[in-house]
Amino acid sequence: MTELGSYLYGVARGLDPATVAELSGVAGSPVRVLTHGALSALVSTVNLAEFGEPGLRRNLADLGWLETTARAHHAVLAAAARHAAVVPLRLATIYRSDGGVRAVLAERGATFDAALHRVQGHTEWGLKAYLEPAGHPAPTADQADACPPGTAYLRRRARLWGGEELREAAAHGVAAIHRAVSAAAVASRRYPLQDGRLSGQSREMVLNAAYLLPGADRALLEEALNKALDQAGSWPLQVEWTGPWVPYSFVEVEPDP
Amino acid sequence: MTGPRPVGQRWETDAAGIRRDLGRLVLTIVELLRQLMERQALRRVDSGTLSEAQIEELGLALMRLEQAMTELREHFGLEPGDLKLDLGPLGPLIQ
Amino acid sequence: MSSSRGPAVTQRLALVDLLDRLLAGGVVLVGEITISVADVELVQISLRALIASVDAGHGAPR
Repeated sequence: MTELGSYLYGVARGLDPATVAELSGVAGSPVRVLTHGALSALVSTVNLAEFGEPGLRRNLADLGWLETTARAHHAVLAAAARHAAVVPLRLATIYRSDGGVRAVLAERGATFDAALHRVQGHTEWGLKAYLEPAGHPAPTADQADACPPGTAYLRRRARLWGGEELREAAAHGVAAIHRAVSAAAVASRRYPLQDGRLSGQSREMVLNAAYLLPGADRALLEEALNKALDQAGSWPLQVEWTGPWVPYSFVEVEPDP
Repeated sequence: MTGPRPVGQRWETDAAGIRRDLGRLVLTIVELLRQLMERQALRRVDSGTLSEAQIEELGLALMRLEQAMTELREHFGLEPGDLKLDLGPLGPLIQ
Repeated sequence: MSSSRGPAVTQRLALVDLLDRLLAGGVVLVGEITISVADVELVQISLRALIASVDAGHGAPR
């Protein structure tokens, strides 16, 4: 017998169900809306063989499955957020039935309301910074051969020490940038640095942060960043913005009692 | 011998242990000086006031110094990580 | 969506940026079947294994 469950994407306020009616969610499942007062829970029915605890553990360790599911999860929330205030849930929250979801809406209604109030009308922006290696490229094989041993030794050591100074300068830059952009934002959060092997990034990451801003225009944040960069002269950093995001990083609530 | 001890925090009471602890202490200081000298030399090289021959001589001398340090360290059975001076808020003094 | 100016709905989100948020952000509710908070650690550990396998030459995800 196929056991089914209800996968919860997030909770919205002021949601028009038509905005998610055509969406395909996790496992290609249609997206439904369960309401409780002004709150709307975005759910999909899922097969517990795939989304039950043993299945989830297995699948969460499968990068292909994880990617497909993560993108679907996000797509549903992003679509809903275009026209309503949305509090996104972390990946993989499943109830045994819609009844379980409704119960949560009833029990934690006040919590959701508070979170919705905080993030309503706000967008999240991500800022990533990477080390930009300056000067000191590694010598080619020819260069290395042509170089007398003592001088070659000094070159190697210069690169090593140069690296240390570079990182020190980058650390100063990162602190200044984060301070400046945080001041322009309503809230900020730092994430652990991303692993280059997962991101496919060859540069060394030095900052992975998220900022919450009222409205949908990150100009205010960019202004703060550029001002900090101008004042510095030069830090060995390359920066990238991501977003706008549904405010995943700013909806932390108290754990269930 | 008892189990692992925190680095630099206890003195062994047997001769071999004392020798190793003293060795570590001395070599830590020597390694610090070596690194400082090396950075100083590199600044000198960058300043452009040395001839190619002088640079080569300086490099060879520093290279031999590094080799000597490695031999000394191995003689005392120490790993590079054993020679460290961590001054807490001031951070590590040896890279 | 890196270095975007203005709306960039058609640009593909980097998986790593998504995972940062979906695995460490968002509201955490203990659903009836959900992997609990502690078990999200399990996912982190699994990601490390994934990274190792990616590293071993299967190529980074798009």
